[in-house]
Amino acid sequence: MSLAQWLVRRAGGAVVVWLLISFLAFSLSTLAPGDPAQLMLLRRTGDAPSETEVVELRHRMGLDRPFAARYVTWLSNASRGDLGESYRTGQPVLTELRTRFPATLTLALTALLAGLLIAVPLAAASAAARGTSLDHAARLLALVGVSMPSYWLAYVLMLVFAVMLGVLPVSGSGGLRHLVLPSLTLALGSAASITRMLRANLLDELGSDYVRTARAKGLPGHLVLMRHALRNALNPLVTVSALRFGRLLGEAVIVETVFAWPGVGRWMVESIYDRDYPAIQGFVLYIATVFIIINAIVDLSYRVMDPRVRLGAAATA
Amino acid sequence: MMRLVFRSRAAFAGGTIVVALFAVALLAPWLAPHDPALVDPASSFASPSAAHWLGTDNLGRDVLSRLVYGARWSLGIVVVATALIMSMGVAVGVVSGYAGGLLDDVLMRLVDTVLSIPTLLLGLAIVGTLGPGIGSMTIGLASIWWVGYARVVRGLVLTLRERGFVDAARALGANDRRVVLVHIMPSVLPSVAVLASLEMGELILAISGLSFLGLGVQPPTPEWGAMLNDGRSFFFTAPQLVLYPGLVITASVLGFNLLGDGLRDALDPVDALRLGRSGA
Amino acid sequence: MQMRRVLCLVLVACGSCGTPPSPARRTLVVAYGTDEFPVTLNRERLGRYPLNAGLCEPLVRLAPDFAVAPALATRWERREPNGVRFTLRSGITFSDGTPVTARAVAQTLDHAMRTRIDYTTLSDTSVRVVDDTTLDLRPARVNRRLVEQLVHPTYGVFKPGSDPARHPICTGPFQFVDYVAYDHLTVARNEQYRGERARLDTIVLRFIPDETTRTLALRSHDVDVIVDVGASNAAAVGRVAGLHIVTAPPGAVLVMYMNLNGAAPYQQLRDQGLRRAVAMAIDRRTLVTRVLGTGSAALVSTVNPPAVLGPYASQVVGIPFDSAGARLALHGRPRTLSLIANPASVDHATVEYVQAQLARVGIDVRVEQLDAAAFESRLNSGAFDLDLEQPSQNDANPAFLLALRWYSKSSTRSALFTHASPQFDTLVERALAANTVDDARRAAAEAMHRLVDVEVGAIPLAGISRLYAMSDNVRGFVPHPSRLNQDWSTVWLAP
Repeated sequence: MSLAQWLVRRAGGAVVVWLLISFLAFSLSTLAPGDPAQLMLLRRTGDAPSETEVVELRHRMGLDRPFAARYVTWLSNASRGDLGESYRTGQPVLTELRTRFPATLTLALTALLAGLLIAVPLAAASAAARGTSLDHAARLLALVGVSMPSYWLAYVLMLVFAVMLGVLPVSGSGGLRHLVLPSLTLALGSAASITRMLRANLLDELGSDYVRTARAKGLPGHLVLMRHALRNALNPLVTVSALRFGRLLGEAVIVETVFAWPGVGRWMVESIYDRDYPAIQGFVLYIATVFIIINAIVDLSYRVMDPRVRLGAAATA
Repeated sequence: MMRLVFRSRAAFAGGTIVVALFAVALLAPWLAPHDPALVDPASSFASPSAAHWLGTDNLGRDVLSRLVYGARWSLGIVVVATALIMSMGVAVGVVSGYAGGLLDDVLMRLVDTVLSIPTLLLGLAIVGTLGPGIGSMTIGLASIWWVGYARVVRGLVLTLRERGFVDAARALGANDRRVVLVHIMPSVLPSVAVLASLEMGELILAISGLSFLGLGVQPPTPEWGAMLNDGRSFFFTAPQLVLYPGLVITASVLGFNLLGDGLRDALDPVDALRLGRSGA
Repeated sequence: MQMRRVLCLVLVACGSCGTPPSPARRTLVVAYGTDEFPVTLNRERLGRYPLNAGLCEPLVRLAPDFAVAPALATRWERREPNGVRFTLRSGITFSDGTPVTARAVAQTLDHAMRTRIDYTTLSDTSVRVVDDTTLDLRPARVNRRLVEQLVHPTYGVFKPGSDPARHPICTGPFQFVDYVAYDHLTVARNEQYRGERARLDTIVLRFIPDETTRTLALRSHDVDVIVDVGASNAAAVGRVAGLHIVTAPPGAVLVMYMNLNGAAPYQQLRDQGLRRAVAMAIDRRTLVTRVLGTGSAALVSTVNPPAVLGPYASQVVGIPFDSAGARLALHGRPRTLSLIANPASVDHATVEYVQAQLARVGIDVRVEQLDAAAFESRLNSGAFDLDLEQPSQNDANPAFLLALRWYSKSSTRSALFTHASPQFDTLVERALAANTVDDARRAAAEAMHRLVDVEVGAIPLAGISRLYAMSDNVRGFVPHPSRLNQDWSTVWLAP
């Protein structure tokens, strides 16, 4: 299959997934208890609306039309960048998402980078010194790391770095200093998980034929590790980073709430508390779009960088 | 060699933790020294004593008893959710892998769709839409968590087909139902069980996270995540109310992770490869 | 050093040692909870409500004893049959130097009506500008409590043509600097202020939703003051060197509402005997001392802070705790009641305590944990037996809560289910129509006595005080019982 063919198939697959997710996101609101028109009026006036007001607004919002018709309208608006208005704030959902997403992106990317910076050397050391107490300590640390609730870790970090040592601010946004604790909270969890994966990959690689050959040729152990195993084990790191990034966005919801970080995760939680369905739907579709694009880029980079990957991979969106 | 020893020792430790936790959950009425719901404000925030080994909480309830009964809720929810997830995942995975063709395409596209959004975010959106509570949390988590299982199971079924199992059974006159029940299920289920134990830790963390945001289990139910969330108001005056549930959550996640790792390594290497390192 | 002490002694003699020799020019950082300005209803009230940053002033203001005090208006007098004439202070300007006129006030009131944030009974034809400093207000319906209602910060006057949602220009001790949604609101001293100018240069109001984080921020000196500290955190903060707690007089009451007019299955509390049994079953003293925490809660019998009723508050006595009596009144018949609680203001512990207390007399309380939207929808559809809330008193109208929640002619939807008897209505109407504040207080107290002691239509559980935690170098802070009316202009920072 040529690259062009592959691209067409890949794009087709992405569009299908996007349509399905939009359907899923839209269906959420029909699962929801309560009448959207009533909720909206309640938010706008602060008091329960009268029956006529509700009926009138239902008609104006088109809520009295069949589900399919409403979905098509919503989808066509969404594809033009109109995700509707938030019940809570009366602002366009897309505007809110656009204003707040960069903060979350900054946080997640910093955390991912920090996570990798911790995980790669730790995993390499652990694999090279397999079976020693260093290895055991690193693995135990990683295990405890993945087993700890992130908000719990957040408070511990605040207590140590902000209150006891007084070197970093507890919360808020603004400077680079404000970024350290929330991203560290996210990074430690990621680092633990990446370390576990990378160490296992390294050990597999160390057990493989070419490394044994290299060893037989008399190359010292750590050199083998660096030169061959690490390079090969790093390949899947791109996939892991992409996956990890998704997890980070999920965990950011909690970490943003704890650290008062004005990102999209906290906005989502606030929207949920207020049953702001246009916001929830828009958020799901927005994040899905971002991820479909990221996954496509990851796939493409494989395709371009690694000649071993050929067709077939088109199924993953 | 060292690795195997470490693994099995770790797996043993993990298994012990998990078995102990389940035993506590089952025997809660006999193990708990007090009624976990008994409110007695006169003895709130009591320090550990012979009567209250771990002291009391803000309403004078015995913390140890709440943790013991909490095992029932926390593990119970995880078990129910996992059962839902496994049945959906196995059903879809087997159908998809066995039937192939258009049905396979459609189901796998659905799986891809759900996987295209971070699990926690989609879970949050569903739970948030349905409203807070144990029921909507379990449904919300189960309705997205199964897709990973479906993909793994489908892969296992495809491997079995490649190895000629299915054709051989068919040649011997077995119908589809028999092939699935007798030939496919027995080889798929152990891997699914391992996957489940690997994922249980994650599930516990997800549940406690939702409870932390106030969307999961609601007080006064003595679920660990809800207890931790409740104890936050007393972070400075009575940190043990955050510390104990936090430790118990961490210990149980650790137990499931250790057990899952060990089981995975004990499994057939080919299957282990399929399960990937997703437990990380 | 010696010199300063001497100087200080001299200053004490002149009665002003509390003030520093020269005004300290510093920035105060205050931590609030969630930013609520982006919410539709508050969008047009930036810096006024639900966080009052001292930017704008209404015609009249709320004194700490819940009396009305002059602000932009110096005088107000009744105009028959149903109006009030306000005379504005002359020669005052907005922070940008433009003069304040009656037209600006009229425009502010008009804006409040248009954005549906008006709590009075004004209508389009109610506002009449007489001349630059004179304004007539005539509510659509008889409302003699209008002046007491206008102290609410929602009626803070802004300059015509300025955008109250983005950059409000007003007359208060502070002026707007910048606002970043969900992050902070910064205000600076208004050099044009009519009265004594604020001592601080700048106040940064930061939004930190998580209470534990707020407390940690104070401990690490990221912020100087936290508004609204939980009682438990307050106890801990009070023990930390360099920090202290300031308790405001009670400004809110924890109230148990009851569904007095519900349809099955929520009709049980139509029975006054059962309502009385519920009231008798709850030990309010223990609630105040052990559950809510001494210092933040006080025993009260009124549904408003007692100070609003002045000397008449003692007319409301409350139902005494009598567990045995409650059991007896129930004739050993087990009951099941459903309870909802406002998630924004009532914590789990209170709910669980009430549940446990009622369980002791044989009433099984089903607690329904709801988010804000679900709570409102349950409340407005009457799907509850008991409802726990914590209403605050932010104006000077003694009948405010009575008319809102238990008056059958209230425009609030939930009053359909909570409204009390016709006799109660008569008393509330008397309070609303009373000519003097004193008469209004007396009538409101009578209405409340009827509601609480006679009909047992509501159970006041505890008076609630706002707690402020701050570092020791924050000086001059005078707590106001109403958080919305807290004044920051007297605050300064010691070096």
